[in-house]
This record gives sequence, structure tokens and C-alpha cells, in this order.
Amino acid sequence: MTAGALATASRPDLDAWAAYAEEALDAAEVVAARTAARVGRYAFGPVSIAVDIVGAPEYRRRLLQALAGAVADDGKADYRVIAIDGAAPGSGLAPRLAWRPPGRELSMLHRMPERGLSIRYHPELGSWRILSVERRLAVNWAADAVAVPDWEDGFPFRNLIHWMSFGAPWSMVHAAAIGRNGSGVLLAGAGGSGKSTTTAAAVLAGYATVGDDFVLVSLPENGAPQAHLVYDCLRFDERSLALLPDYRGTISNPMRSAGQKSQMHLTEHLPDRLVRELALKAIVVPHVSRSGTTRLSPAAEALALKAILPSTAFLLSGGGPELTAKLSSLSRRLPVYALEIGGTPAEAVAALEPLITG
Amino acid sequence: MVAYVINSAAISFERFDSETVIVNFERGTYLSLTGAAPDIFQLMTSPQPLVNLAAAVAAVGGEAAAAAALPDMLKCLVAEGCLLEVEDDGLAVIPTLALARAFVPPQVQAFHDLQELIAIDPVHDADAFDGWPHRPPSLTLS
Repeated sequence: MTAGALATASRPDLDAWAAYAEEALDAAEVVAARTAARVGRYAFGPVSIAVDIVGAPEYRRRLLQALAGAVADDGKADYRVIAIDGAAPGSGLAPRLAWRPPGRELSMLHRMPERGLSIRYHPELGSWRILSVERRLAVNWAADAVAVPDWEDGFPFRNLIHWMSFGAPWSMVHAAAIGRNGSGVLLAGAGGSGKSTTTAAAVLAGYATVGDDFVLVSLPENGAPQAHLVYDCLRFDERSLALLPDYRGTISNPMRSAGQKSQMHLTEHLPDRLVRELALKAIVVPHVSRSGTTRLSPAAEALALKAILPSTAFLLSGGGPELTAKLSSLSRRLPVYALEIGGTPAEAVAALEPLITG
Repeated sequence: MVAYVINSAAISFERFDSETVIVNFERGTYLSLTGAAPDIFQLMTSPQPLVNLAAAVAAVGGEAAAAAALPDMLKCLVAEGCLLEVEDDGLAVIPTLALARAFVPPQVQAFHDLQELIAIDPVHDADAFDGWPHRPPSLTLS
């Protein structure tokens, strides 16, 4: 931000934003009471949600397929999440704003920690995501579910779950985790690092996973950090599928948008490889090289933070210093390794074996 | 007098033994500071005039090192939105750099590979006390 921008930026009316959030949550409860179906409860380690959906069966399928590995028994959930397709019969759009926010204020995440509120409007979707910690209630209100891009299906409610972590000793993390016999390693890296391909290869080799793109990591005061299952997907680009052709028959989104990754659901095809949690023994930061050599070597804590924090922060909006503190703590609490991948995915998995089983 | 201060409204950072990692949440960028850069950066948790910073670096690395490396580091961190240039005339105490090891010229590496993620995803962390955007206290913005 430039000094000029600081000097001229207007201050949003926080009371108005908070009032709107409460109004929209009230409206969602009314719509849900009229038409929603409770579709289930899902638990992700330290947090659980009960989901109500107002919308067609296809909307339910899109929202719930990736959560299939996290289904929980009926019981009290930490949060109620109401998902509404505004185009569905009997629902309608979210309430109108009573004022016109200037500039980009409309599309920004407004996080009001002292009020326990997070609210965000997505103009391109015409959708609202709102969380009230005090009411233990969240809403995901799409203007028209058909307009929601298909890549959203791989990680539904991710922003809402991320916002639930504010003030709690856990965090959503952009990373994968693989392991065996209840413990394993966190694989962290941006697109193209080899994270997803290594995870998929490990699953083929018989390792368990709690997820590929986003996992929930709890940070207990005592004991090892734990990675918890949220989504059951593995994702592939064309190169990964060429390296791991066994997955070709499992892809769930053959009609995906241009440039989007292929996706498969472990619950559907390899349910025994999906586990609810893994005690973490290390953070591994992979990178693909042309050296022809695959090797694992100790690395600095800063490497782990650079691999975890920026992509988590930018993919899951909000968090700021709190997210930095949590993921810094995670980086300091676990040994860090760099995984140079110069050979096949199977060689990368073999390089990790001593770390996982040792 | 122009002084430099960490733009805490936009960034957060973590210091490790020999490296500081900075994330700019407004721009979608992240940076790595190595060499003497983490120590120098740490000085700017409160506003520091350039002359003070130069004196602190010269005391451990020599005048030539201060002249050669400091302006580039400050220019880069201002351009990356990690430091603010502010007007501050009330500073007299020269900070000291307590280096844990021999002086190594400051290095700044900026990463922009994830910037497209934030371009469509701005964040406003509102705070009833600090206002919006967060503003460093008691500063006159240049």
C-alpha cells in the first residue's frame, strides 16, 4: 500500500457491515427453516459442522462429494452451515445492501474479530459467505449455483472453515499429508512443486493420506501437531496423470473447465487409504529438479514457512498475523526437510519412507 | 526528516536464526531477508531515519558496506510495500545492530509467483480501534 492510498482510503461503516451480516444470517435461517434439508454432520478433528442445504440435488452433490470422508455421526456440531442456491425454488437472493460501498470495499473480506464476524461478497458469483462465531452460524449464499465454477467443488466451505479457526489452536493449511500407522509428514509446496504427484504416488504405494490440497492442522500445547482430513480429493495435472496412469479411470470431473486439474475422490475409489488424522513427524518441502537425483535433506525452518504460509494466506483469505504466528509455530515444532525430486514419483515416495516409518 | 518504519498494516513477518520471512497480505507477495537484512529490518519496528540506520550498519560492517547495501535494501522494501517512508523529526537515538555473526551484506529476495491469487481476493481485517486500513500510530505520512 502506498502512503497515498493510506491517506485517501475511506473507512467502511463497520456497524453497517455487522448489521448486514446479522440480517443475512437471520434471512438464511428463515429460508432454511422453510425449505432446507439437513444433509449431515462433518467433523474435521477439532471442529465439526452441521450442513443444511437449500438447493437441487446437483447442488448438494457438488457441495458434499469432497466432504464424504469427513462424515460424522449425528450429534451436536460446533457450527451450523447453511448453503443456499438463490436460484432454487423457495430461496431467493440474499438481502440487499442498504448502502453502496465505494470501490473495492464491496468485494473485500471484512473481518471484525471483536464482533466475531467475517463477511465477504464475491461479485463474480453474486454470492455471500458470512460467519458469526457468536451465533455459531455460517452461510454460503450463492446467487445461482450453476454459476459457481467447478473447481470450487474440490474444497467447499474452505473459507468458512478457515474463518472458524480464528482464535482457535488449529488452522487450515495449504498442504498434503501422507503417513502410515497413524503418523506421517506434511508435504508443503506451491503448484508444480511435486506435492500432489508425490501424495498420489504414496497412496498407490499403500500409504494413507488426510488430503492433498488443504488439510486442517491442530496445534496442541502438548504433543505433536496433527493433520486432519477435510477433503477426500486427489488432484492431477496432465503430467501427473501421465506419470500415474492408474488414476486415469477414476477421474470424477472429465468435463472440467479449461486449465483445471483432474480430480478423484478417495472415498469412492480407495477409501482404505483415507484416514481422519495423522500425527505429524516432519514437514517436507518438495521441489522438482532436473538433476536426475531424488534425495531428502534437512532444511531450515524458514523453508517450511515459505512453503506453507503465503499460499495458505492467499488461497484462504484473512488471518494476517494470527495465521503467521500459527504457521510459524508449526514450522518451528517439526523437523523440516527438502525433497529434491529428480526421478520418478515412486522414488520420491521411497525417499520419504525412512522419515515416515522410522 | 525521512524515516523508515515497518508497514505493519500490510505485512507480517517471522524471524528465524538467519532468515526473516515476510508476507505482504495486501499484495500477495512474500520475501526472504538474509545476511544482515533481518537485523536491519528489526530496527525499523519503530521509525528510523536513514542516518541512524547507516550509522548502525557502519558500526558493524563499515561505512562502505552501509553506503553500498543499505539504500538498495530500503528501496526494495519500500517498493515491495514492506516499509513506509514517513516524516519524523523527533528521533535522536542511534540504534545498534547486535549481530550474532560476522557482518554479511543484506540480501532481499522478493517472490511474486503467488500474486495472482490475491489480485482477486483483497482482505480487509477491520478493527474497531485501529480503523481502516490499519495505520501506524503517531506518524505523518509522506
